[in-house]
Amino acid sequence: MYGTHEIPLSLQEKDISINVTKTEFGYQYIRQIAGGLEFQKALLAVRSKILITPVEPLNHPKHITNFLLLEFDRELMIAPQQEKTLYATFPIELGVFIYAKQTYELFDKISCIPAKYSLYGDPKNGVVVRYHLTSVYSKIPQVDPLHFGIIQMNIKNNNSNWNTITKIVLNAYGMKLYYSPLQVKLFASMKISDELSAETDCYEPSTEKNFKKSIEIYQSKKLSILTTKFNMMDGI
Amino acid sequence: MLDKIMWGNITLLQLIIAFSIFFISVIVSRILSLYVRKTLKNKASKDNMEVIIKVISFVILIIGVIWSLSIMGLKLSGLLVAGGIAGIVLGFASQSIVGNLISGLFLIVERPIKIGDTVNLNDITGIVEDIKIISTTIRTFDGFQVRIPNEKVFTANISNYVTNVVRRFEYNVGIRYTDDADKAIGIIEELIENEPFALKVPGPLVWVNNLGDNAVNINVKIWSPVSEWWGLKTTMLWRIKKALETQGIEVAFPQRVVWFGDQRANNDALPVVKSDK
Repeated sequence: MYGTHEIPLSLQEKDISINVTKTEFGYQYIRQIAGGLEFQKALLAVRSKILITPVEPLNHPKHITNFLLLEFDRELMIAPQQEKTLYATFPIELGVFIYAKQTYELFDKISCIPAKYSLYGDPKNGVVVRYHLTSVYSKIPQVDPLHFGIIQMNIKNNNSNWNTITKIVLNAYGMKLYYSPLQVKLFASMKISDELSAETDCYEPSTEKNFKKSIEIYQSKKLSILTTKFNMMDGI
Repeated sequence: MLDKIMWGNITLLQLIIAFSIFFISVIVSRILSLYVRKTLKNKASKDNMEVIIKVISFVILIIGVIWSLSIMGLKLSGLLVAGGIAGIVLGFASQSIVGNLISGLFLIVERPIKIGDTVNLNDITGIVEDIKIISTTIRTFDGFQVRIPNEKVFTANISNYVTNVVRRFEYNVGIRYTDDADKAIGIIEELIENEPFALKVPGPLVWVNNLGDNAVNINVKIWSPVSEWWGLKTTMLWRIKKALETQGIEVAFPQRVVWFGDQRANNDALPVVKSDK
């Protein structure tokens, strides 16, 4: 499903069905998930293509936060000054873009995973986060690329004590998603300062063969002052 | 002609220059306000942007006024003395205006409310549209615009509904005594779990609150992002009712059980009432 598609287009994969047909005024887009309600959109354009890529999973049912919290299904204890690479999953959201006149425009976002939101921190100073419960793996797990992506976490304990990790919070600004037909990847680092705080960030890997980079929808020229990091100050 | 004395020692030329400077300062303040508004549109909150714009406008206007007055030969030291005397007179004459002005300054500094906040002020609930130097404007949910003097705003009990990122709401759901309360709690908890905007943390609370006259009352407390609170609150109760009914649990209504004498005779728990007949 991922990649660039010519119009007319008819895609059916797992629960997702996408049809784009030519009409008098341009194109007619119809999308359906698991036989649910149809989403339709008229696209007033000519000589265009459709691009489907994974996007930052913070848009369903609507965008209310820039932060994604992954809670691990078990506690991880990390030794002092230890560095470890682990894998977990994150929910996938598909962005459907139309490509015309050298520009991409996002016009539909699809998710097969029910969203759940939570609070990180206290009600006054905390942040609302998209919540996802995940297992932790030492090797890359096999998951359905339309439902889950793989996050590679480089966890480093800068503290001189043992620390317990139960979650990681990531900032949407800075998430770089890479996709292939079989897998969606995200790379993140977590630097632990003490038992309650850590700094997280997403990074671009040096080489990622056979993977394409997704279009970042949380990236704006106007927001260059925004940080891509997140300081977890209310527990890790 | 320009040397013509208009008033005191002020010539027509001085008057024209002074008015021109004042006029230009007004235009410059307007242009700068528009420029700042355009520049900060997506970079600062509306509230911060309005404060910055007001400060810039006032500073430019004050500079323009002082400059104009100096062109007309008015010395600042004299102005201060005159201002001091005039201040005392005006102070007595306009206590409430000065009170509102000072309250306005404190409101801008302390910021218990911001433009765009949903608040309750002296039983007026609505969205703060503007905080001016003398008054605060609130748009109620019925679409009215209410202007409240800043002195009242400053001394009022203010409930700000959007200061925190999350807030809680609750329902009381009464089910029949014949229904299984544990099952009902399970159904409600599952419904909340499947609702995206019912927060995972802080978690919901579903519990038998009391055994009422006509129903077992289940209390449901749900936390939600403050932006989604109202939408969720207005839909969740009916969804709970429907979910309970599909599982055979009904919401109780007031009822009274009436026992007749002959029925009581077969019930050991109740004293038999003998008829006189």
